[in-house]
Amino acid sequence: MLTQIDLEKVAKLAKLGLTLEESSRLTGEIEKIISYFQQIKHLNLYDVTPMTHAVSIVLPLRYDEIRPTKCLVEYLSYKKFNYIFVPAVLE
Amino acid sequence: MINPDLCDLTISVLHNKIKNREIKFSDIIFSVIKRVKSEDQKINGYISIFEEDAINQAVDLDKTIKNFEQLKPLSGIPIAVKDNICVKDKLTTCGSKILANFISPYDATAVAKLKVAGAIIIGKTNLDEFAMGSSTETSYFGPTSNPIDNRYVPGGSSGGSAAVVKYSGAIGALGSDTGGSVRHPAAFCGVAGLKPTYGRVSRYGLVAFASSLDCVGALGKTAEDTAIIFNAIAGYDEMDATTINTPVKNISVDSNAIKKYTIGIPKEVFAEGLDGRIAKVIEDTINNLRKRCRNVKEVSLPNTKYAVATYYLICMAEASSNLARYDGVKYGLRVSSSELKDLYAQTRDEGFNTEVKRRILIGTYGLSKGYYDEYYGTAQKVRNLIKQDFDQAFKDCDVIITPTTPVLPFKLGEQISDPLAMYLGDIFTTPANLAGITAISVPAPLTIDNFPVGIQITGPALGEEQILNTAKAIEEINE
Repeated sequence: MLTQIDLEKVAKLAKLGLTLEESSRLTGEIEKIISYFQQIKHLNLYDVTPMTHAVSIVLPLRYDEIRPTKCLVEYLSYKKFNYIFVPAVLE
Repeated sequence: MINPDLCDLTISVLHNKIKNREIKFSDIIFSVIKRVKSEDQKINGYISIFEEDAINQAVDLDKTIKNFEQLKPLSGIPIAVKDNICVKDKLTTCGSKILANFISPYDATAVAKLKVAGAIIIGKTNLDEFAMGSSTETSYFGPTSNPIDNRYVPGGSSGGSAAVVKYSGAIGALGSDTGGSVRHPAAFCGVAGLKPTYGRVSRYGLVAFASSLDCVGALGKTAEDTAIIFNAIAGYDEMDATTINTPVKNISVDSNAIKKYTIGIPKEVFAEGLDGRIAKVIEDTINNLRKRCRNVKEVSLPNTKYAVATYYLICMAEASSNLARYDGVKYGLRVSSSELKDLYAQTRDEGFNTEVKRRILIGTYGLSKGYYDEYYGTAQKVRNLIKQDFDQAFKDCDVIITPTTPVLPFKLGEQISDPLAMYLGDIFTTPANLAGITAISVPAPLTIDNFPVGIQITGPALGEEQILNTAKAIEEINE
């Protein structure tokens, strides 16, 4: 059973600010959806390997060479003197 | 009979007309733009249109192309791109307020390949925010309507791409398919929509939703048109480590090939939950198909009934991780605040709509301590069972036929407040994404009350040729 307090805790983890009205409404909706998901919990999956991906991924190597690219800072929307500008982190 | 406008023709017909010097490249663009101007105001299929660029490119082609024998298959063909796929120096909004002003600094690989193949990118199409939905109603830029009847949804999440292809505001389009988002709107709008094998088309430049499921797909008026687009965009890409590094065969669609195929019909399909009108149309089509292919047999996919629960647990978990990057720090929307943690929370609260928040919340819940094995871990195991079902079925058949959706198009606003009902509409499309295999939706005949129906042909990994051949045979039967 998902409570509104649980949902607000999850929202904090997900860094989502929710209004009281939103968290109240979403709690009911999400509880209904999670109840539907419960159907797969009753399957016998003892010997089944989890499938994380549809293809076997081989991480390829390439030569460690410099390729021309733009500096990421050029794409930043919020910058001052070529640094990301955010509110003070430390008080 | 009145001659159709150029924009109403298929890629291959337009290609031949250009090749034979019957028309100019600019004739096609002007025809398409004229149609967009007359239709898109009521359909809202496009988020942005590149009218001037497109006309300039076509006029350039008229001036510069001399060798019409060596014409590329997509030369001068206007193609629309779903707005979660990057086009250099153009907006890529994902239908979201959080990216409403984001200009992409590079082309997605699929877009770059389309350009190399000669296509003209005509605009960016509407979608459910971050491709999360089945109705194209949740876009920050307003809902898209179904061109067949404006009161109805076009399906989703690539509803803009399907709608503009249907009303001939583009000759073809790119979409993305994470759980059916190409095939579902194709079915609702009466066009063809191909979801390639996972890894056959690069995801580089496709804004990530659920990385283990996302595919770039093609929409067109016919299966053959989707094949032409697929031929152009498929292939290994060093920018995407999940692309398959095997040669790509240029597919030339041949409906006669189905004589040699065995067609599988899953016995679980015609179960409770399938609209009777859809069942009738699909059964009639299968019966007609027997005249061209004698080997039609029953197969079993016993675990696909768990596909919706499995798919949504996995895609929500992956989405909660992928969408963590939208925090107002580097780019996109920022809601100013004196404290950093409030900046994150307020930006994400204001930038995302309800459906995206719902999925992030469930995904975070499913990945949190104490629930990971219960939800995400369990879903990954069931995903394997679903894949094993397909592996087993494809030992006995070459393609599998099902409806694309269990329900017919519904009216705008009718299901928006019932997310679970919306999710259940993905029961036939999500299994192919979970298994990483290929599938296409093509139009079946209309129902008795004139609703469009999609018929889905699913093939094994890298089985694009056989599903396209079967799709073309179905199109011929239904002509």
